[in-house]
Amino acid sequence: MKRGEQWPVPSTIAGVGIGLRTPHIPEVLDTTPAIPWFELLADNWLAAGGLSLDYLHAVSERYPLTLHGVGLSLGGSDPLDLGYLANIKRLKERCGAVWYSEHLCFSQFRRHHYHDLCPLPFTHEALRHVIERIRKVQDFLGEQILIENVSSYLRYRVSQFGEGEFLARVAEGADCLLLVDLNNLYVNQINHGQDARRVIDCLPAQRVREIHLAGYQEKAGFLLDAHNHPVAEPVWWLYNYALRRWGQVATLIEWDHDLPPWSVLMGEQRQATDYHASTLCKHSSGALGAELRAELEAEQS
Amino acid sequence: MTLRALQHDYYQAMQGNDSALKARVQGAGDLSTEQALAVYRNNTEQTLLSVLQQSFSVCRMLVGERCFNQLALRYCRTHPSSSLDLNAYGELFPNFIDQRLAPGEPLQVVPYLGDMARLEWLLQRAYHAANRTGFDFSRFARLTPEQQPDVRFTLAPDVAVVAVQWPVADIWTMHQSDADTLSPLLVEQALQHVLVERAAYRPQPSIIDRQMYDLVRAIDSGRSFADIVSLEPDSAQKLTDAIQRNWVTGFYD
Repeated sequence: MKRGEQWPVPSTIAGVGIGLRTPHIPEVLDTTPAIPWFELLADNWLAAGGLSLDYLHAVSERYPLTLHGVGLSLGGSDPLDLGYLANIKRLKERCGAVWYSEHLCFSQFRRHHYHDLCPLPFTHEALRHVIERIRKVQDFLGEQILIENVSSYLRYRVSQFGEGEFLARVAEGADCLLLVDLNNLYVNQINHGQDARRVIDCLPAQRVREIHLAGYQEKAGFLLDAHNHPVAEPVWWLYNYALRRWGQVATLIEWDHDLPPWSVLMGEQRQATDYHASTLCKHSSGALGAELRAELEAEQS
Repeated sequence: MTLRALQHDYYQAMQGNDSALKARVQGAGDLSTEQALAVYRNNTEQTLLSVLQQSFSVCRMLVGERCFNQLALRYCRTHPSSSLDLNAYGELFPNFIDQRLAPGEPLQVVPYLGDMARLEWLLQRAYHAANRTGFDFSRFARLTPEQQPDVRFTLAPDVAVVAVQWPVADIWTMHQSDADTLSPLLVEQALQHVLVERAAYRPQPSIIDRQMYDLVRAIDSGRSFADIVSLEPDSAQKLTDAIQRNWVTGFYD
């Protein structure tokens, strides 16, 4: 698609969803909890048949879904895998997912797959490269996608931008949407000494369509983005900050390893819903809205 | 320095040679660059290890957690993942085990471990295979007598056969209890022909006779109807059995 033309914007989704993992599916199908939407890890749902296909059908009949990918290697220097992308497109059509998101990272080199989200240097060349590839993906899928920031344990000396500026330039240049993982921003704040709030301030609010909340693990001398803990207090604080800046944004509770009982995830979802509701309340009140704006302006100055 | 060159250095670092990348990155928090790169190497290794643990769960029970993890990590370090699909990782693990069963190797006490891995690989492949379609008998009946001998058959996507030197189908069945670990078994070497299929979502092995094994192999290798029925005196009956059991789900000219 040529510059100036717009890819169709995906329809919207609202409220606080949960990243649905296979061990929880029987309970979800039995009890049909009042969760507004679920997100599926696309790479786990590409099997041609068997139980996962029937689960996919059953879940998509009951809930709105979004798809989240980890394998596209958007920042990689190997050619884009259009076969994989065709599978994603087919999966999206099959389950009626509202949107598809991917990470701003690379995950392979010379067809060796790391199965990990490896960080990019924030350079002009990387910027041009990912913008071009995101546009190709959007052409292929025929719609905008969401791009997620990743946590990292190293930074490249060659970087020319801060993380927030890089993300904002990618979003504008590729005309894509953003999925902001606040846990990743906090992990990077501790790991690299960058202020997560300043990154949030850099991002174009109108492009932010989804927020991820997850738990990190404290290691000796750094934070690991482990997705195996409850959302930590500083991340809840950042969530509050982000909601006040961006308003109501669809939010997801993500928990991938050492899965807790379903009730624990429901508890996290309720807590996020409370934040969501209180932000809505404040935004709808003229007096409080003005107060919030003043508070934000004070924070900015 | 181009992005591709940087990613090449990163690749080298993931292979254990971080001399080029070290100067170009700095570690997070209190991490040295070596430690930061080790975090990424470990992330990949743990992901691949977890895949092998799930795909080869009976092998894991047979040798215990510690031994299995050592073996699997050696495999991960010498066999990078070449597919985006994690379910495709581990195909060469049975051969890797075979190379470690020689006399003098610690694994020689479980000489059937390679065969067990071979069976488990087919089972996990069956788990993710496409759903079956029914055999189209009416279309088959419409073939002319001239067309029929040249027809080739297709197996159900989940069906596969393997010939193993040890009775691993029996050992696998014995390990389908809730026990986390079982001691290695003293078993006699005995050739087994095993068919793997998925029933009600669950892949399972069953022992078949050599004639059925040969027939399924012949179908899988694309032999014609005429070739297949001439394999053995009762091959036509075996083919009928295979179709009735829905192991054969299609045909093509």
